[in-house]
Amino acid sequence: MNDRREPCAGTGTWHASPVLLAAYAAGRAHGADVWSVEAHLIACPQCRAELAAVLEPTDQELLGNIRDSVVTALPQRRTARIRRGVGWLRWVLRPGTLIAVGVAVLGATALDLVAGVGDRDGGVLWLLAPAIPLTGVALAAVGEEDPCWEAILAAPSALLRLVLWRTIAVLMFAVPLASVAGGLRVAVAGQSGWNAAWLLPCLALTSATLAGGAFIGVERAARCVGLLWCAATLGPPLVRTGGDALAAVRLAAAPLAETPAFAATAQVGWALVTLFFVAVVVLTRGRYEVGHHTKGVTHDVI
Amino acid sequence: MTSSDPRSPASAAVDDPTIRLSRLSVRYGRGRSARTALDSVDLDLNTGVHGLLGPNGAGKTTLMRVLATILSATSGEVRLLGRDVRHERDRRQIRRQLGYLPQAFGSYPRFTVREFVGYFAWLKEVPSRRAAAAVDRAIERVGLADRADTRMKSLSGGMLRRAGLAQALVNDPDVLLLDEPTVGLDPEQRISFRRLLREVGADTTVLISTHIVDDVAAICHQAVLVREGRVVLRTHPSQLERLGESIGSTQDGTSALERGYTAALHGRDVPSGVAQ
Repeated sequence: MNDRREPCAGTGTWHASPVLLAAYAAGRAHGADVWSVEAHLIACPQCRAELAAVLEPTDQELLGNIRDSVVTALPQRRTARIRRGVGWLRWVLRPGTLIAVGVAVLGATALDLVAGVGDRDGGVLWLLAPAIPLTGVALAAVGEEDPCWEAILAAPSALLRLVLWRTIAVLMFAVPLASVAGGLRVAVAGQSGWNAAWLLPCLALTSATLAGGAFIGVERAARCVGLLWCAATLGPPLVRTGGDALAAVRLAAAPLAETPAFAATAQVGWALVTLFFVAVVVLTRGRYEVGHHTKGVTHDVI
Repeated sequence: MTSSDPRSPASAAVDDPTIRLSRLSVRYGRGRSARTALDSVDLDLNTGVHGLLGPNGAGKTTLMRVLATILSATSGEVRLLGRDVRHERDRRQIRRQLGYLPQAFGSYPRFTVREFVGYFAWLKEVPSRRAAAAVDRAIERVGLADRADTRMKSLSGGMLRRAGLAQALVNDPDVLLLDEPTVGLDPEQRISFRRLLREVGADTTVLISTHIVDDVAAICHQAVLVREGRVVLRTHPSQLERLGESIGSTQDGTSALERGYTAALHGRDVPSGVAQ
């Protein structure tokens, strides 16, 4: 009875024989045998696994169901349940990304106030709003500096999924914040109105960042797209005013309704751009994992 | 669970083994500065606990990274759980069934242990219905249940290592890869760690990379010796011990196992009953 298999060191040398396990599984074992098998099973995973193998399929299923219901239906306290329900927010919402967005909104608002844009439309805040979420998206990616980088890489599609969820979180925060800030500023000036023209450009820039992220990294892509947007919107006025920043801000903000980028016809273009970059993200999703990302990993110890 | 039923080694090899490497090579760098980390490795591993032994720089961590699907081979084939790691869809499926504790493994100081393990359950796509129970079970298995809601910044090194192990176990992996898992564990923790691995090894393919020879003797069903990027020997740890007993004396303070390991590494024949 004690030599049927090579024993694992430490758990003792005795193991329940297949005959005994089969008798136990079928309810045919008696008295002392049942006790010793049960006492042994508690301590020996090997025999547990073998017992599972000789159980009748119906018994197996029954036990599985019982285990499932015990594990999933454990009574929980309400707070614990809530905390677990929103637990994923812990790794999707990064404080840094929200702070970056907040600072960007404050900065744009301050620029409006300092430049004295006045009550027109909402000022340079609307103009820069499409690029504001990018300040958060830049911080959304997981990189080699992450303490658990290698373990994260080994998880299925982890990088793209993390970036997507974090980007959504940033947008959910940035869009209302920019809207409220812009709306308030206009309201203070005694007018009402909320400019929605920046929403589609915002989506277009965000998807462009994610698409670019597959090739040059999300952080760098966010910086490039953001700078391009600022250059395109503030560059020409800056040139026309001969480098006077505040005058340029006033100039850029002034004809906001007539800004070509926000015109009704341009919105179709932004929608197409968004679709294009979403397609790029879907098609190149493989680039978010193995390949260029692991270059850094391979260079240290072997 | 694939191939978890006890079969004779021969039939298991004809069947798909959990891990199958064929002529696997990994080279770093290009041209003149290229360095070969793994050189045409053939290796089949099945359910049970396997110890990967070798000196520093032998290619242990490279091999672990290839198996963890985070480093692609320069040439050769890698199949895990009957799937080819080169195909994106297969790789994703493999990763769902993979547990990996890297050698360099940090933590998030502001996360609690539960949040940390929950994060990895989410990353590994454990269905949210089962996630909470899976997280609790993993934490309990590594003996951190009483610290589940403690922030990681106030954990000791050994506890962090165990949290890392919980992370690897949370999806009930079919393949478990542990790179130097016993570093930083005190003797008592090491014993409970061995017990855990014996339990896990009953229905999982576990590969432990280590240079602590005693760990291998205590836990592993098989020792795989690597040297300069090649697998030089696969054998039961007791065979190494026998080799060690047959040579040298105990005067220099080494154990028979350590002597056997050193001798085998340098090409001495292992007595008999050598697996492959």
